[in-house]
Amino acid sequence: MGARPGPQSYPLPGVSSPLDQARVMIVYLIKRVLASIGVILAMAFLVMLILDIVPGDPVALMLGESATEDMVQELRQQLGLDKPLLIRYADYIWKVLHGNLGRSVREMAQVSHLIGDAFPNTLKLTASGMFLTLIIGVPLGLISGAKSGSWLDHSSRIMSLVGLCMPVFWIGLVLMFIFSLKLGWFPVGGTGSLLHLVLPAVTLASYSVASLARMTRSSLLEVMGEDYVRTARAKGLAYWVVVVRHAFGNALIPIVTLFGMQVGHLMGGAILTETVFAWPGLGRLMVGAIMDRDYPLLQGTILVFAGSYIFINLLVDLSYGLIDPQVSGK
Amino acid sequence: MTKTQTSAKRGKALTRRRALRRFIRNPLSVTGLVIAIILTTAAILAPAIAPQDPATQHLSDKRSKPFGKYILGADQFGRDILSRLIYGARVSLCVAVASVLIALTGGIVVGTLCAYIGGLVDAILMRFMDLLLSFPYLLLAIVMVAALGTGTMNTILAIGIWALPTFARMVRAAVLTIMKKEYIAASKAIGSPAPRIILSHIIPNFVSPLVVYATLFMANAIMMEAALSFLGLGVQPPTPSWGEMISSGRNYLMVAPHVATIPGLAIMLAVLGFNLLGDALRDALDPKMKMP
Repeated sequence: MGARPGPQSYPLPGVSSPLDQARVMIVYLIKRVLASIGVILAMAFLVMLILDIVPGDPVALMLGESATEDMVQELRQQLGLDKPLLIRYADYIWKVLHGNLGRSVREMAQVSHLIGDAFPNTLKLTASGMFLTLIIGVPLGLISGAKSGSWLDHSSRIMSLVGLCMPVFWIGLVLMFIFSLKLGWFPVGGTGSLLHLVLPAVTLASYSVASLARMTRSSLLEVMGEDYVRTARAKGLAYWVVVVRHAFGNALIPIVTLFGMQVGHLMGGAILTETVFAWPGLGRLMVGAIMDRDYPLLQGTILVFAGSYIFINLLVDLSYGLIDPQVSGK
Repeated sequence: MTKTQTSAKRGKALTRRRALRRFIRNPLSVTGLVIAIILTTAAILAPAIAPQDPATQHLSDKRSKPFGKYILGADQFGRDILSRLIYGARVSLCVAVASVLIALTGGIVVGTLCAYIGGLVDAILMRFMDLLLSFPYLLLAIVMVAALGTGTMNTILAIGIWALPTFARMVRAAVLTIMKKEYIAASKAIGSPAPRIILSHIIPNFVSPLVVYATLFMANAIMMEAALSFLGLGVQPPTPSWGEMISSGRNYLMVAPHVATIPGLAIMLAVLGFNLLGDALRDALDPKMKMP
């Protein structure tokens, strides 16, 4: 790392040897991974700090009005709340590194077990949401941008505009009413079969599909005006070949960036979707933890939630390197 | 001197007229404006235009269908849905306006300080803003609510803090661009104190992107309030809020689907209206403006 610093090392990213490029890539990778770990650590501290400003005594609130002074003291000691914030933080991180997220106050179970049960469900839901976003949103925007001005373009634009304005949970309720309650095609809620997954996944993906379709369209339109697209057309290539091979490839960076941001939206949307469809995931666990004032559980769910978001964004960032080799050199 | 002043004034009037013309010519802009005006009027005049009291329970009319005794029907307690929607507009718009104001004020203070002072202050504050921005959607507001508790005031605070970093970033970028302009250097050269440079030269020059952004964020704030209230973490019953109406109505989805679905249309209309208005303002004020 940093064996040959200075601008002379890489006069032009395109000309440097493959070995140099590999080195640049690895340095970039290590930097990004370290930065992500830093963000997760800072986030965990911030969440602890915010939860520390709770007005009133959190332990008394957790136990309710019937608790005696001894019970409050005992729980306070058990949670380590009698220690200063920084020590508690160091303690928490140390335990987390050993896979121990503490005990839930309400459920009387290890937080890591509760999260371990819920996390696969949330993962399944968000992953299907992402999948739908990619296979519907990108082609929709591509067609819309390539055929701009056509009725296809107009209808897809209106659909995405409306899609962006509908609350996720409301879409879920409407879909549930039509397809579960009236038509009886899908179960009303819960998990189990693939059929259970359809409505929640469609609900969750709706916003991101609309947003990605819009982004793909505008970024494609921008590229379609470039000289090399005209050249490719002028040398006689078919329209769709130019759209897919020349224009789309170059429009990909903003699309991937937006997709990374959409992951955050999908995860937030998952909290709402899980509530609508009684989907036993992290989001419901989190909302339940807030209602019950179950701080260890809340902290654990937030950590896992935010951590996976940062991890996915790390993957998105690294994928830039694959799409555009110049990025890693910068 | 007077001649250049009048021509400058004329130039300003001309740009304003052009902006207005661009705004009026676009049917989507006008739609957005009309929706925003209707909602604001409904919110302000709620007691005068609501056909019923939003809290009165007509238990004999429980879950009555729309277009009957009540235009939009009644909810599970026999309360008039239209009146609750109108009062809900009041709650939603108040929460949105107040939280956008918090984000706007905080964003201007943080962004201007960062850009103007620079150095360590800038680095620390902006890293902190980046940290807030790296929470997934909804999560930061949820953490805030978990700490502060539910209720209208805390919802405003949570949404305001959620939106603050975006405004701070935008203001910082705008101030940094403006600081490179010659008139700032000139003002510094004649010895103007920093507060005067900031207040009379810097801030007035990024008002238009800020107005656009605040309008677009109204839509986000309305959506956020609805989401938090739907989860039971925002505005609490019996205060009528659109998100809360959907949440409490969803238990009757089979027998009375209108109770939960109608408020969703109101949210959609409001979000659409402010989004269209924001886009229109952007196109009218500065078509080349790039949004962060």
